[in-house]
Amino acid sequence: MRVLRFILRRLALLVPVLLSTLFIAFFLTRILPGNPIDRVAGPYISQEKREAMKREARLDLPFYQQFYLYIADLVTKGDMGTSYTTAQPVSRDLLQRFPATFELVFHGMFLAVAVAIPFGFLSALYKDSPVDHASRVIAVVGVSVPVFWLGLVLLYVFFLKLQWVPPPIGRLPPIMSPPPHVTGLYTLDAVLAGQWDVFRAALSALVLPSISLALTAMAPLARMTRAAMVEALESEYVRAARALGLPPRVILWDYAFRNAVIPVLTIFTGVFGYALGGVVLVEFVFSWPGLGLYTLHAILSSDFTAIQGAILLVTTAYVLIYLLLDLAVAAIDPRVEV
Amino acid sequence: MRVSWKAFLVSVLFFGFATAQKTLVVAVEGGIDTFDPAFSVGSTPTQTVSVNVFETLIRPKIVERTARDGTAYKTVDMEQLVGQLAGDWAFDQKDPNTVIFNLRKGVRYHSGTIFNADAVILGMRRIFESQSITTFLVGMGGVVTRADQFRRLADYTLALEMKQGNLLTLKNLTIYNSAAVDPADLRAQATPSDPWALDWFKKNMGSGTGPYLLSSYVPGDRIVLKAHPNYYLGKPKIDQVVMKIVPDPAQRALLLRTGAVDMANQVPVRELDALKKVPSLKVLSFPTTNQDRLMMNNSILPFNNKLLRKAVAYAIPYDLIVRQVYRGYARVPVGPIEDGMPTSDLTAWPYRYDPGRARTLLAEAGYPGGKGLPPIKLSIRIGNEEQEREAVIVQDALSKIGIKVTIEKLPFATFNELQQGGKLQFFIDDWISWVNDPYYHMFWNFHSKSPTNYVRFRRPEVDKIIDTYMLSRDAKARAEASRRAQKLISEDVPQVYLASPNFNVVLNKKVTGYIYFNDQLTRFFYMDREP
Amino acid sequence: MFKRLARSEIVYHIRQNPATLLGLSIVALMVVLAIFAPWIAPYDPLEKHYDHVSEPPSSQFWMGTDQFGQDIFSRVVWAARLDLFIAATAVMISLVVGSLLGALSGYLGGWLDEILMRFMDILQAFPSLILAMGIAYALGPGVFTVIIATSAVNIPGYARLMRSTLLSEKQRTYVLAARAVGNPPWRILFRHLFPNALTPVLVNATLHFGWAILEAASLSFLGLGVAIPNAEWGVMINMGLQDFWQGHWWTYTFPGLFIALTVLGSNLLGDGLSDILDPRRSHR
Repeated sequence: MRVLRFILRRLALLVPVLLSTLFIAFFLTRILPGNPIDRVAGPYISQEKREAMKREARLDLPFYQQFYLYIADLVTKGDMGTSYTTAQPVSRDLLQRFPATFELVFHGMFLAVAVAIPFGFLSALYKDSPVDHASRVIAVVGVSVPVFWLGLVLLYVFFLKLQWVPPPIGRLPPIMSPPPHVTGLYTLDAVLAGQWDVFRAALSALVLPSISLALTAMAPLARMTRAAMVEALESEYVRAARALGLPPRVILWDYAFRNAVIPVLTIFTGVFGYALGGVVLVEFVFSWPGLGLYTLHAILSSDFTAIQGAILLVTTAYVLIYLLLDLAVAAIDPRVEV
Repeated sequence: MRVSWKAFLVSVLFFGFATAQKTLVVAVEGGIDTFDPAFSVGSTPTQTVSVNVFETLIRPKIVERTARDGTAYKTVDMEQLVGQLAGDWAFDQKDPNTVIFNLRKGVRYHSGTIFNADAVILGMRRIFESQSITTFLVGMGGVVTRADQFRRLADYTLALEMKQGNLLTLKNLTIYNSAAVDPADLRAQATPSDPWALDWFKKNMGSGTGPYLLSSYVPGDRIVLKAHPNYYLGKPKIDQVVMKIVPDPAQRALLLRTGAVDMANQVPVRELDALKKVPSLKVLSFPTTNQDRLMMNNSILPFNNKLLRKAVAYAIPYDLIVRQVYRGYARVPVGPIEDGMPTSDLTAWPYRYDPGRARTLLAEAGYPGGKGLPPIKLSIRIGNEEQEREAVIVQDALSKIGIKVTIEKLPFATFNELQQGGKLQFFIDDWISWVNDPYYHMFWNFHSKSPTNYVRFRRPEVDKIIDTYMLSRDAKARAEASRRAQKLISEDVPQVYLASPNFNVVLNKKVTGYIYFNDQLTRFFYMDREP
Repeated sequence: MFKRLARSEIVYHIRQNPATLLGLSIVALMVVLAIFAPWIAPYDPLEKHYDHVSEPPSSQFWMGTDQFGQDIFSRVVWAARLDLFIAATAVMISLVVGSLLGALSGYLGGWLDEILMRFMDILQAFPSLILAMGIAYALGPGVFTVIIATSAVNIPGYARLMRSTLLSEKQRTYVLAARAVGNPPWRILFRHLFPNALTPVLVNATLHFGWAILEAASLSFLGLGVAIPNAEWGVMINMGLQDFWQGHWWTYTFPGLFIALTVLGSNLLGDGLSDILDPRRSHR
């Protein structure tokens, strides 16, 4: 019960944050001149027709009213307006593009964690060894390299020159149809349907973009893991445990690692946020049909309903992850009061 | 091992059926932003779908032409109008302002609704009462202002009473926007607040009479058209068209190379030479009347100064642009009316690359060496690689005579809004007149009352010529007046013509039957794909 | 009160951690390139050689040319000037605005503190590139926009840093003494409290510098930042994209390399500074 209240309390704090980010998104999309009405209407439409369309899009109302109505629609009907570039409801667009980004971010972060944590761990364990030096070098380089440049270089080497990966034009080759929809993640759905050729194609399309994303996320994770492990290993309680003669394995896992996990979890959100920004760049380079590209195209087309919807979704996801991690830390760290 | 004869039969049938299904895969730049033919102005894929699903009463005749390099190609001649949904048409013997259309009998919409004169009139009413772009197009010249000028004479006979009989209105009627939607759709989808179902038609594909229907649309992924089995001219040879959405032009080229798609247009020009060398591909490059123009706002500083505009016209390296930006897949433009449009006067436009003269004129304009000029922004739309390159070359060329400009890339909608509001100072855009008629072209570009006269060019004599001769049926006088107008326009240099790019289509060699229409949209009905 | 560092301490650290020296050298090299660009670059960055379009590296054009025949080496060098300028300015603005806000917040406390910190939370709720994109969209493309977008995103960092330093120092004896003597708040802030916050702020600024370069390049790469065909590393990669499929690797590889180097340098330097100046960090 206490846990539930804890969660609800945290959620309650979320709402104003989300509202405010939405407000900022609203604000930003209405400063620049240029609205989609003119794109759709073209020069041939009479002034009255144009005004009618503007009224329909609520552009004639004062800012606060527009914002209020948007929230009302969102909460009561889940309606985020209609995109001007796809003529579909924004909510449908977002739902449709979300799995692509999720799959990419998932694979990327999974890879990052799978490599960074063990590396950081080993680095701390064998401090100052060649392995440690090497991984620290890789880590600091990884955090310095622009993710879009990395993607291009990888594409050049592995696609143009070696042809080990398929052309960067999407999640599947154009002729291949997606697997029957279960989650929207092509790799997972293909496995569930037993379509192994689709699985292979989807996975090979994912390789380079997820590696690009992973390489930049790996670095801060590895660094923090190392630092946290080092601090844990040199801490008093570990020294006490050693003095007491506890077996090394117990010291390592039950004492050191457990305590190192907390700071790592804490920076995970930051890394995730960085990855969400990076995903826009990766999707751009690899033409990955996800939310990142959707947001970018919306921005470049002044499709403000789409921009609002996309920003809302991205910040919601980010904030939710933050909440989840907060909960995880609360669960692990006995010092945190639930 | 015994194979059941039933299985064998089934597999043969299946295999036979599968191979009999002809699919054409086309790479396109984007998705559909509206399904309503009366309102589609924006994206090419949207318009392509419209033009294959909906039909107009008449269309231009398909002819064979020869390009400058000797290759033969198929295109249309706007001067010869033949019937499409109308079996034939003619001016009324008794009244020169009226045209009679005899509609084809036995045509049905995809939904089964019978196509007849009532359907056409309902469609026209929809167009006029919902105030769409089509209203403007059909009503050009003030000739047709009310839907009731279309009169039903019989079930399959229709009369159009124009205020003044002319050919231009008829040419405008060939544009797909004026197609009549299915009356059954209208009845079913109209609501009290939206009597013409504008909202429904925007978001849903209605029934048409054309050779294709929309089979599915996955936003961001693909548009699939399937052939109409009962099309009145016979079932199309290509059963299915898959329009795969590939926003990046370089990737469209890539897909062509790997054979993943059969066709693409809007491929970057710099890829064409390489694509030509691929044995399985062919590149069709059609000369067009399309022009890339450097637009100077005649109504605001500093380009309200005619001498300055002249200086700019002499400063541009035209051959360099054709060579560097278009790799030869374009021509140096001829003037306000491009070569390929009737009455084009190749002598009207005198400006050639002459930086010395440009500098002199710049000084005469009051800005010697560029001193005293206000800041100038050259605006271009995001996403057009060739125009971006032109902008860079223009910027470079102007800086050499002392004019400094900064390049500003604007999002589509922002650019459009500023352009339409007459607020853009200096920008590049392109224009092709869908109706290949000089007065159509001059009206939209040079008439002071035209909303698309983005440079705000104002010259009363030109207005007068356009007003007087637009609807005239005196071909000779019309042509002569057009040439006079071109000279007047050239004197004032409202805009500079940078290049007349070809329209390029890259196809798999097995795909045949492509016909170049003035609106540059593909009609899949005429095409075939060898297995 | 500055923590005076003994020379030997610095030398000791550098001996133990050559990476810091490397970082310093890289940054210094970039600064030199930036300052002396007009003398180092053989060509004008916008000079177009239409007869040498998209050529690979050669003796005439050390890093090759782009699709307008512009010398990539010259552009990379001039871009150092623009990018470093943008990053430095963004850091400066961020630092000043963020620190002031944080200081006010921390020192004055109360509802002002609450509101400001909530606002910082909201800013930080945006993934930084997305916020930068939004700002860039709202302000329109250009150098000014990039600076604003890059600095806005990082203000919360400085604000929190300053605020937490202030909160911990507020109750210290010397501060209480200063107040007792009758020093006005602003003098306390500037004379006593700011210098103590300087250390973490400096470290943050160094790291932020590299970050700003990445953000600026990303924005320009997406087409939302500096206009083409100016010499800016992100713009160059964006232009290089057009040549990607023909295998003209030099058009985007070199600018990216320079971005990576500069950011690497600032990261190494920042890490090193943090080690030197912060005694609590575990030394090796």
